[in-house]
This record gives sequence, C-alpha cells and structure tokens, in this order.
Amino acid sequence: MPFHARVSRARFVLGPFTAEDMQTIGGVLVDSISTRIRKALNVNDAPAKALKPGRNGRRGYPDYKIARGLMPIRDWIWTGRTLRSLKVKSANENQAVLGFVDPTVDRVAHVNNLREKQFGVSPKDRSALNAAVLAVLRQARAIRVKRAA
Amino acid sequence: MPDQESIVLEIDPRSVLAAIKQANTAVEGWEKGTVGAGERMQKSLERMSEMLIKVNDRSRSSMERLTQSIEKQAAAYGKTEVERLIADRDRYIKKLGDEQGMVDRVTAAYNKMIEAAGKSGGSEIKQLGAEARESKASLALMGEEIGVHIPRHIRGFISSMPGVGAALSAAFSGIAVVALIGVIVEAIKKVVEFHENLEKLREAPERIEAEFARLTGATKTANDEMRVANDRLENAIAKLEHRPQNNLKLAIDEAAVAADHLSEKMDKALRSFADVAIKNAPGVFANIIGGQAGIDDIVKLVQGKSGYGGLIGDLYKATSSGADPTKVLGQYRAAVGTMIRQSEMAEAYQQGKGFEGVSYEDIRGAMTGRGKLPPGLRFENMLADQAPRLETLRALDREIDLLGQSYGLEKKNTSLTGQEDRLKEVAKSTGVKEELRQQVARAQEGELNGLARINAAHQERLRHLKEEGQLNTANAKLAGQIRDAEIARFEKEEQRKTAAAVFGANTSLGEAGIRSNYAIFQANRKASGAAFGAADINAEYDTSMALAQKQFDLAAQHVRELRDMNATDGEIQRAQIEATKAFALAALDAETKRRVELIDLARQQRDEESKTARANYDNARRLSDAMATEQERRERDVVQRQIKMAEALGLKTAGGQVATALTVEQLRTAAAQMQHDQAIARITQETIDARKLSGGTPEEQRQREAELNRLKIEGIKAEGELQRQIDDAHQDRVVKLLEIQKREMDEIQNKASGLFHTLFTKPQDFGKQLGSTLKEAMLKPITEGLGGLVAKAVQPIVSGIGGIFNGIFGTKQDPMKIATDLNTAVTAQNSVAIASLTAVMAAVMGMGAPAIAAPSGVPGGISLPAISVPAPAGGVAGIGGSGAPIPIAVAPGGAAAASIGASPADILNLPAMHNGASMNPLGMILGANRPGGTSGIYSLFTKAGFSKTLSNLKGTVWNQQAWDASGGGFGGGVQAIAKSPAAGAAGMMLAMNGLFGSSRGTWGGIAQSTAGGALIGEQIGGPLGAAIGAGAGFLAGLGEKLFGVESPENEAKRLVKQLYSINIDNSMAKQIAGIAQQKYAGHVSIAVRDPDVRKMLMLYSEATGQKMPLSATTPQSASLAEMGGKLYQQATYVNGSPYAFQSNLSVLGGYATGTYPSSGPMMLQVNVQGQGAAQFVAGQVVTPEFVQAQWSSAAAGSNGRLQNSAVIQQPGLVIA
Repeated sequence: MPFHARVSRARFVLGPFTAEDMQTIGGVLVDSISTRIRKALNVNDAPAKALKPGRNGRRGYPDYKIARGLMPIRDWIWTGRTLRSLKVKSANENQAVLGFVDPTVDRVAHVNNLREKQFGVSPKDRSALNAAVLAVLRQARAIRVKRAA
Repeated sequence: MPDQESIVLEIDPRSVLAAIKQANTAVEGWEKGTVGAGERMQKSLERMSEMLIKVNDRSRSSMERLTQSIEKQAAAYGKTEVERLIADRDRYIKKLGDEQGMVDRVTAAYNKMIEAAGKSGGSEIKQLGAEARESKASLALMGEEIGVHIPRHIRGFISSMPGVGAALSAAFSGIAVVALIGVIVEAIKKVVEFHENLEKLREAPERIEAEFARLTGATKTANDEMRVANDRLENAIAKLEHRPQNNLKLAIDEAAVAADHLSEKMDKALRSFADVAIKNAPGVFANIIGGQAGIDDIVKLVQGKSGYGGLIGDLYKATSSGADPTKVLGQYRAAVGTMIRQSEMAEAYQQGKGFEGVSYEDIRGAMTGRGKLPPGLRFENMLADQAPRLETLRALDREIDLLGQSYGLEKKNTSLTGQEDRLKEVAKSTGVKEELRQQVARAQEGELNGLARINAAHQERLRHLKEEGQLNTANAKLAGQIRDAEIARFEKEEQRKTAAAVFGANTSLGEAGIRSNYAIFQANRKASGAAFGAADINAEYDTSMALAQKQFDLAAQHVRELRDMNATDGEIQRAQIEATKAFALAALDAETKRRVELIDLARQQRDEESKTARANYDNARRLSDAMATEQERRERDVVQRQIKMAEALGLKTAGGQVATALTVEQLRTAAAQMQHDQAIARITQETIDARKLSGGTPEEQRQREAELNRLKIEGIKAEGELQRQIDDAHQDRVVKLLEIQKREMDEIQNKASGLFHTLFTKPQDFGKQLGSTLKEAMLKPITEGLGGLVAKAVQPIVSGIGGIFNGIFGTKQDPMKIATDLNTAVTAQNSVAIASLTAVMAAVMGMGAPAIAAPSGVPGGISLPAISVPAPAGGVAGIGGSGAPIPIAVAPGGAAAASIGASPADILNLPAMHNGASMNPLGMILGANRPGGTSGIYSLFTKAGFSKTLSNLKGTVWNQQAWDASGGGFGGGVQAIAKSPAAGAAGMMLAMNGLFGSSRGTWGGIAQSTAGGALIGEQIGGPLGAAIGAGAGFLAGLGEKLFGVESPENEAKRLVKQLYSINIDNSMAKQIAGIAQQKYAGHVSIAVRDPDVRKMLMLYSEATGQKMPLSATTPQSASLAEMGGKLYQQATYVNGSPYAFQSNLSVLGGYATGTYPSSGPMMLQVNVQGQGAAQFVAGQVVTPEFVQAQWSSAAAGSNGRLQNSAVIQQPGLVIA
C-alpha cells in the first residue's frame, strides 16, 4: 500500500501556502535530496567519500555492489529501499516534514548520515527549494497586486 | 520513537511579515509609477521565497544533541557570567546562521545583559528590576486614583531615579493634593526628557562606535574565515595541481558566481548598516540642542529613499547583471571619503584649525566668498557637531572596504573551489584509468597467470616446509610433483578449453550457414513467385538436412578430440548428447519448415484457384448482366413501338379505343412476361456459375451462399416485377375504359342539356334539334363503323399502290415506317453480333454460352440457344448453356400462370402481340421483313401479292356471293355490284349527302337519299331491301323538303341571291356557312350581312361578271373641286368604276359615273370642341388664306412633297 503524506490543518496559519502547497514544496525538496544522494553527493554538494574497500584480500562493500551491478559509490543504494522511503511524511499550512517512512530505513539512514552527512539541505537543494516556493507563490498568487483602499 | 533523520520546512512568521512588507513596498513603488516596479516586485518575490521557508535540519539525533548540550555546559563551567553570556550569544549567533536580523537582536539583547553583568552582579540587577517594577506599579496606581495619566515611560523614568522609587513606595498612601502632583509630574516629565536626551548625546558616539565595530567585526570575521578557507584550498590545490591553469572565461564566470554569492551578503550588511545608522541618528533635539550634524544623506547614500536605491541598489544591479561590483564600491567609497573630508574640515574649523593645507582664515573667508576651501569641499554645516556623523562615515568607509575585500575573497574562493573540484575529478579519473590499465595488464597476462599462480603456490609450499623445518629432498620432490601435476592439469584444461572454443566456433558457423541458407531460400521463394513449387521446398529440406549432418559430424569430431585428450566420460557423454541434440533440433527444424512451406504452398495454390474462379464468375456475371440489360432495353423499345403503333392504328371510335386499350394491355403483359423470362434465364445461368465457385474455406462458402442468396432474391424480385407490370397494364386499361365511358356520358349529357335548353328557350326549334340529335346519335356509329370498314378495305390497296408509285418515282416514304424498318433491322444485326461475341467469349473462358438469342446461320457454326423458353407451370425455370432447365423455387403465388401459353420464339419471331389479339399491326406493316414475304410492302412486288391486290379490288366492287346466289346474268351482276362493299359505301355516302349534306331539303337531296337508301337496303335485304331503302330515303328527303329543312349552304345561296342579286356556287356557300358557324353561331342570315362577306361577295360578283348593287349603308368618300369659279363633284372609284353622289353639282370632267345610293340629303357635320369652339365663336374659323399658309408651310417643310407634286401635276393621281 503506497504511503500517503498526512496532510493536516493548522490551527493558526502563518504562511501563504496551503497544506497541499507545502506538500508540493516538500516533494520538490525530497526529489532534490534523493537525486543528490543518488549521485553520491553530500550536503555540501561535494562528492561523498569513497566506500570502504575490502581488506586482506576479502571483498568489500564496493565489490559486492559491483557484483550486483551497482555503482561502487556512496549513493545509499543497495536495494533502493532507503531512498524509496524518503518522502514527505506530513504537511500542513505551516510546515512540512521530510523523512523516511520506514523506521528501519530511518535507522539505516541515520547510520549512513553519521558516516557522512548526505541527508540534509545542500546549497543546490536550497536553490531548488527557493525555486519551488517562488513557483508556488506565483501560481497561488499569494501576493495580489491591488490598490489599497 | 522520534525520527532520527528528518527535515522540517517551517513557515517563518517574521519572514512572512518582512516578505509582505517587501511586497507592499514593491507594490507601493509600482503604484507610484516607479520604473522597474515589476522587476523589483519580482525580486521581492524572490527574496520572499528565500526567506519564507526556514529549514530546520534535524539531522542529528536527540541523543547527540543532548550530549552536545552537556558538553557545552561543561565547557561553560568555571567561566564568569559575562563569559558565559558571550559564549551563549556566540552559540546562538552561530545557530541563527544567516538570519542577520535575528542575530542583531540577539546581539543587542546579550549586550545589555553583558553590560549589566559587567557593571554589577546578577543580584543587583534583580533588585533593581524589582524596585522598578514596584515603582511603576505605584505610579500607575497613583495616576488612576488622581485621574492624571502618567505615561508609561515617564513612570519608568521616575522609578529609575535614585531614591524616588523607595519614596513613592513609602508615600503612596499620603498623596492628597492632586494639583501638586500634576505639577510635579509635568515638571518631572520635562526634566526626564532633558535628562534622557542629554544622556543620549553623551553616549551616542560611543554606542555608535561599538555597534559599528561589532557590525564590521562580523564582516571582518567572515572575511577572515573566507581567507582561511581559501588558504586551505590553495594548499589542497598545491598538492593536486601539477600544472598552472589560467582560463580567462572561467575567471569571468567565477567572478560572476562570486558576485552572486556576495550579493545577498552585501545587501544584508548594508541594510544592517543603514538600520544601525538610522537607529543612532541624531534626532531633532540633538540637531537643535546638541547641534549635531544629521546623517540623512548618509542613509540616503546607502539605501536611497526607498530603501533599495543608493549603494544597495547599485550593488544589486551590478551583482545581478554579473558585473564587477568593485567599481561601484570604489565610486561610493570616493563619495564617502569626500563626506569624511567635509566633516573633518568642519571639525577642524570648529577647533580653529586649518585643513589639508588650507588655513583657518581661508576656510572662514570662504563663508563670505573671499577665502578658499580644499578641492571638492563646500562650506556647509561647519558649526554642527561632526562626531556622530564622522563615526558613521568612517564605519561606512570601513564597511565598503570590507565589502570590496569580501568580494575579492569570495571570487577567489569560488575560483579555487572550482579548481579543486576539477582537480579532484582529474585525480579521480586518473585513479580509474590506472586501475583499468592494471586490469588490462592483468588481462593481457592471461594464461601465464595460471602458471604463475602454480609457481607461487609451489614457492609458498616450500616456504611453509622451510618454516616448519620439513624442507628436505623428499618433500621438495613431492612438492615438485604436485606442481608438475598442477601444471599438467592446467595445460590439459587449457587444451580442452581451446577444443571447446573451436567446436563452439564451428557450431556457430554451421548454425549461421543454416540460417543463411534459409534466408536465401526465402528470398528465392519471393523472387520466384508462382514458379515456386514443392520441388524447391524438398530441395531446401535436403540442403538443411545436409547442413545438420555437417554439424553432427563436427560434434562427432569434437567427441573424438575429447577422447584423445582423455576427457572424462561425463564430458564425452555431454558432448555426445549435445551433438545428438543439435542434430535432432536441426532435423526437426528442417522438417517443420518443409511441412510448413508445403502447407503454405497448398494454401496459396488454393487461394489462387479460388480467386481465379471468383474472377471468372464475376466476369461472366458482368457480361451476362450487360447483355441482359441491353436486351431488355431493346425489347422494351420494341414493345413501346408496338404500343404506339397500336394506338396509332386503332380506331378513334369508342369501340376502337376500347380495343386499343385491350391491345396495349396485352402488349405490356407480353413485354413484362418476356423480361421476366429473360431475367429468370440470366439468374438461372448465374446460379449455375455460382454453384461452381469454390467453397474450400468457410469464407468462400459464405461468399458462395451469399451469392446464391442474392440470386434467389433477384428471382423473387423478378416475379414480383412481372406481377406488378401485369397489374399496372390491367389497371391502365380499366382506367382507359372508364375514361371512354365518362366521355360518352359527357357527350350525351351535353346533347341532352342542349335539347332541354332549346325546349325551354326556343320551343319552335326543339323538334328540329331533336331530329338532328337523334340523327347524329344514330348515324355516328354507322358512319364510324362504315368508315372503319372502308378504311380497312381500302388502306392496303392505297398503301400498296402508294408504295408501288413511291417505289417507282422515288418519292418520299413514310418516315415512321422507314424508322421502324431500320430499327428492326439494326436490332437484328446487334443481336447477331452480341450472340456471336457471347458465344466466342464463353468458348474462350471454357464456359457454357449464356442464354441469349441468335438467329440461325451465325457464322462459325456456333449453335446458340433460344432467348426464352416456356416456363413450366408452378415454377420459374431457366435454360443454361446446355439447355437443361434448372428449376428455381419461387415464393408462393408467383406469376407462373402468366407464363403458361408462351411459345418459343427466336428474336426475329418475337410475338408482336399477345396471342389473344385479333390484329397484328406490326405484322401488317412489317410482314416477314424481307423480300419474298407473303404480306406487307414486299407482297406487292410478287405475283401472289399483285394477284391478291387485284383480288382485293375485285372484292371491293364485286360481291361474289351475291353473284353466285343470283345465278348470274345482268340481274346477278347488278346484285353482285349492288351488294359489294363499294356499293354499300356509295349508298351510305349518297344517303348521308342527301339527308344530311348540302343537298338536304332539295330535290337533289331527295334523289340522293332515295338512291342511297336503295343501295343500303340492297346490302341488307337484297332487292326488297333496296326498295324499302329507296322508299325510306325518298320519304326522308321529302319530309325534309316539306318541313323546310335547308342546309346552311342553300340558305346562304338563297339569302345572297335575295340580298345582293347574285348567284354563288357551293364553295362560296360553304365558306359563308363556315363563317356563320365560326362567328355567328351558325346563323347564316347574319353572316351574309357581314362586311367582310359583303366585300367577298362584291369581289365574287365582279369576278363572275355579276352586278352587285352598292349598299346605302356603306359610307363613301366625296371630292369637290373648284375650277373656273365653278364647283364640281369629282368622281370616286369603287373597284375601278367611277361613282358620284346624286347632286346638282356636275361631275368634273364629264364622266359617266354610277350613282352612290343615298338614303337622304347630304349633311355636313362639323365637330368643334374646346379651344376650337371659342375660336369659332370669335370668328377665327379656317379661311382659305389659313389653308394656303399652312399648305405653303408644309410644302416648305417638304411635308407630303411627292403627293403635292403629283396632285399639282396630275390631279386625281393616287400616290402610295
């Protein structure tokens, strides 16, 4: 059963966005972060450090990834479950929460993030976020140009 | 369990307010018509979007945050309160990041706390706060009780005064004098304001300096950090880079990127600067009381009036367009330098000093225009306190300088970061290449690797033995044997691999050969088309099997090699199985393909045959349809002609029309039956052909059944059409008969109506009209019947004789007859041609010839069937090419009965009429349509025909039976002639003329009626009948004579003689009677008085030499002439005879003239009207002079010149 973000209604609304807008904005950020991690970039948009190779002639994680047909980079992909679980978990008019909907995956992501911080908002993610906010603002015409009475 | 990793996007309400404020500013600017409002709106929106969402990256676990918190608390232990406050402030500042507004507020708050902590301990602050709060409460309560409101800040100020707070607290209940309190309060307010302002004046420069120092310090710190980062990058680059790089384009792009990154930073820094400057700007009180110089121009320089102009706006434009902001910064720095110099000059002036080499006196003199000032400076605000302004300007100068440095560092940082990234990529790609190169080298080593590994293992084994102390000769030999065995096994394995590779290659090659062979086979098949057959498929099968056998041989060879290489039994068995499997698969594939190809070939052949049969059937059907259509059209035309001829030849009498209607119905019925028979024959033939269509597949069967069903439907339609045609023909005849009856009824009714009209209007004429009516009624059938008999008897004679003479003299023949003959002949020729063509085509197509007529003697000897055959009762039948009848079931109630009685006939012997008809007009005219026939025009040129003609003539004037009955002799001869048809006709004509013709009512008419009656009676009753008839005729004529029955012609003669005294002949009398009939309702007495008739009679009389008197009622012209003073009467001419009126005037010239009849004296009547009457009364009558003048005028105008000339030269000459 696909996961659906919990869209709630805030008691006090601060921003000009609807909950759906916030979900859209969060979705853009999710896509940006997911795409960046798939490229093995960290929160600074820099390449993440290489995977630790095997020692003493034994195969390491990169080797296993190659054998599996995957790229030997720190892209958080083995089965793809981790990044598939990255979603907008909840959204209302004031906030949207991005995270991993699977608790197990959340722990894995936490460990991965301890090794190298990749799950976060990088400058490029921030740019994408700003663009999304601007687009929603334009679309929603949050600021209406009209003469004051 | 809380999430360990999450990102929360939150709406920052402060940012929302700021964003809305910016948007409102932009909108306001837009409303004011500022240029670029839309752009600023866009920028405002962008900024709004940037600051609207606050990202709280909770990427660390709560446990870690807890740990960090404990660590920070531990780090804070042992520090003073100020140090802890500073540490907390720095931590919050670091946490706030780029939120400069909040950083400033946090900094301001901590500064207060740090300042308080530095001055006194925390307890003092608490005590002071408590006292202040109590004092404020007391003052507030006091204000409420006494009704005087004390502003909140004043209450705070009073409370803050040393000792006042305690005093108020103590004296709160003793206050009673309201006015005094009010005065005290007002006084205190002023004092407090003065105190505050003075305090601000005193503290302003320091505070400004400190705040700006912090502001610039933050920028400086950021620049330092940037510088450190750049140093670190340079070190990293130095390690990675082995060659210098200097790309100009890259540098420009990096500069633009640096500008973009710096834009926001600059904007925030300058905006913060402006905020601080505005906050610390001297107020009105400072300007007036303190004499401080304002800083409005500085703020304006930084941010303009709107907050987006000035340095901020220019920098934003420069960075937005990717330009170098250094130039802008330099311009503004120069302006700020000038302002600093201005303030410094004022400050020096206030101190009585010179500035920049210009003496005090010169500066002072510049006030009055006599002195001088340093270049670029003005004499203004020279007495204001420049300290706050100078601090602001210097801070701005430092800020601009730092911004310039920041831009340079940012630019360098961006460049170095890019370089680092590129070098890392290069290093990374270099490592990958190296790895690949090593892999290639290892791959190239290949086989030796195995041997090397064996040797390495051998060495390791020896080393191990040595370490174990077991390395001796025996063990070394054993180790060597192990190595040799491994090497042998390795080599054998290599050989097997090689053999397997060779076998695999051969197998692949063989399989490719099989595929290639099959592809060539398919190509040949397509190219061969219809020529491709089963032999080709079998040949392909043989080839495929040979190739499979070749594959099997290769596999066998491989098995043998495996045996030679001492392969294991399992390997050999596997190879054998593989070989067998490959052969079996190849053989099965070849067999399958062969069978599929054969099946496909058979299907194609069957499809072709089916298509051919279908095409043949379609061709035959189209041909049959076309011929049937032509034949039907031709026969329909023939029938139409027959109908027209029957109508033309039919008698116009009622009985004749009835007979004609019956004939037409019979012709139409026969034609419908003929068309029906032909349609049935065609359908039968097509049914036979349709049954021959192939029905191999269900689709073909369906098509065949559909075709057969269509033919059945056509048969049913043909039956229905036949019945409809018969019904229509019968209905038309009935309608025709009804019309005839109705017409007869109408005639009788008209006659009866006329009789009754006469009875009631002219009773005296009733008897006459009744007799006439009865006579007409009785005579009409007799005359018509006799006329028909005569026509029937005489027409062949006349036609034959006319034809003879026409043939002799080449006169024009009857067009209708010629057209009919030609049409018939051409139709016969066409039928022959179509029949021949059909037979030839049917023979070529291998089919039975369709049912179509052909005359005998067709060239080529092809026997063709008849066009129609009798239909058996109870069903419809057709005749195929073989002549075998094929019954077709028809719907019940079909027109089977209509087909009964039809006789076979070829196309040249078509029944011109139905069998029941008694007359054959077409046969009468056409005969056998060829010379030598027994009737018709050709019969006249034969002996028998001529004899027949004479026989007909004799039969007309001679009654052989009467002759035979009378026994011969004169009497018999008379009898034979008197009883002949000609005598009967002559008697009828005599009787008709005597009784009803122009001779009626005369003795001649009596004689004619007597003779005619005798002849008619002779026809009926012999001599006795002749006597009776003669008597009846005599009496009838006598009766007419006695009753005064007179024919119009005789009446005309009588009246003409009576009126005009001339005798006219019968023609003239008929003419007059005709005119009477046409113009005067048959009244001859009126017609003879008609002017035209009178003129005609006048001419007749002159032509016949009779003298016809002139009529007195006819106006005649008169002419008077004057000659020699005497008036004469000129003669006028009627039909060339001169006439004159009876008068005493003599006739000019003395002619002997006739005299016009005159009924009375001559009268002159003058008609005068209108204007003429007035002129006449006035005496203005026409005088000779007037006439002369008019005549002269007319002559001058050439009016009637010719006539005038003729009159003058020859009087009486008539000019037309």
